[in-house]
Amino acid sequence: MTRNRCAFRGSRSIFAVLLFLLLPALPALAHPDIAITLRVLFDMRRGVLTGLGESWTFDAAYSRVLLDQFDRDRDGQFSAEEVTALRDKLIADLSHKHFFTELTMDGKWATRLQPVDFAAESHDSVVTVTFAFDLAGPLDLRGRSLDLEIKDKDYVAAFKLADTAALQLRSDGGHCRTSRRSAPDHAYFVGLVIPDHISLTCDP
Amino acid sequence: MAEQRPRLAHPQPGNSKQQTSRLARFGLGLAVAAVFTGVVVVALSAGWTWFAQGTLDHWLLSTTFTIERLLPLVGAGFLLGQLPARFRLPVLLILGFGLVSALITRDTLMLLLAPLPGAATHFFLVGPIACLIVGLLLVLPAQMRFWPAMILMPSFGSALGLAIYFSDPSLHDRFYLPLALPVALWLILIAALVTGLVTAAWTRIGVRVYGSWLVAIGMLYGGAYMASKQTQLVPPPFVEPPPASGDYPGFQPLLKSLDRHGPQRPVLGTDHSGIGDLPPGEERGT
Repeated sequence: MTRNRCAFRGSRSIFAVLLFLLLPALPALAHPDIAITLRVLFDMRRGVLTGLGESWTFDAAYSRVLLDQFDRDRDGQFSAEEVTALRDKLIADLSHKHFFTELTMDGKWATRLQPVDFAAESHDSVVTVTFAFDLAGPLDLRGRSLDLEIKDKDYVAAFKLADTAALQLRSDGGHCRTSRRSAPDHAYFVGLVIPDHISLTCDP
Repeated sequence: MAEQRPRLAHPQPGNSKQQTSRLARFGLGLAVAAVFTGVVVVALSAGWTWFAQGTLDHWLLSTTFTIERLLPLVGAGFLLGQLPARFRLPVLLILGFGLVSALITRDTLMLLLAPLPGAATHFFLVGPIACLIVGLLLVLPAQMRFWPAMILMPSFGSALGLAIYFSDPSLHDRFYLPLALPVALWLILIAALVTGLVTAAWTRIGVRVYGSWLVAIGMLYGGAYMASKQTQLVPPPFVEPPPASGDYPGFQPLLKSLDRHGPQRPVLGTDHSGIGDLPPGEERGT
């Protein structure tokens, strides 16, 4: 009887230890893990969209991860080699995700994005990476509208447009304008996340 | 000729025993080789991370080796190890089927699980579900586990698949799934191997006790998650980009590249296969 009681107590103690060990695992459940603040540049040529720029500023925690992984000399800045390593890694990992970028016209995918340049910098331990994308097929937007959504459908990363200079137009000759709105009809991740829907409209 | 017939129809017990023992030794050898290979792969992965970063904080397998993940994996291993040898492969295969199908149909599974309270904010409760399923199977007497396992293991595999998918600690690192999936299966096999080798009577009781803990842990954590008041997915705090000067803040270093055209603007990346391709089934707008 005493032996049984001891065994029961021992069992309860081990159970308590297991529960205690589970506690540290809880913060790992946080989702999404990464917050990215966005700036977008539409590069135009006489009403034709030829390129796209995207600047991603990572949250403090993920910036720390990137610095740990790529700032090999630990000087808080990215050297040219470190930028190349970060560039290759991001392009290799994110190309099959289309860099989370959906360019659509009339509800259909508009064109392919191809990365042509990349920059990375760290300010006060906050990492910002900037992509320049070429459009495989330039889009004539005269009298038309282009839609853009940047979203990670697995919601590992959450995107938000920057408070200042979030949407920029280059060489548009004053004929195009951007607008943004919440798009509940495009909600993703079982309808829980509502993306920002960006439109670029040009005069005929 | 007539003397040989009975020999073929009824092999001598000694030969049969020899064959069985040879087969068992072969199986054991394979299992030991698998364990050793797994140890090497995990050690190499950890060593590489340590060498490159000086820390294991961002190791791709860091979420695989959390206690929440290990408990049901080890439980599944115990289950396999205590099944009669002929039942192990079917159960392992059906577990693998559940795991792979969860990765393919994860959106549908997420939609099915989403109505559960607290599901979306707690990885669709896949951790507690995995603990409950394995725990319930282990609580059963060993001889009664096979058919319930055949019914429940696809669900366990699915829960495991989703848990692995969601706990990617990186920004979609392409090596994460190819590493995390085999390592999870490897952990199950190690536990199965140990349980298959240590067949003392107390292990049967011990494994049932472990199963009851898993049920309790699954219910406690599942209940806590479902009662949680957190219903919104909250990202980490967003950080504003650094103040930048110039006409196009943040894009100055890349303007030259955008000014180039055609072959003067080479595409980056070593492997261009698939870069920028439209998603399958998508049609280009006109």
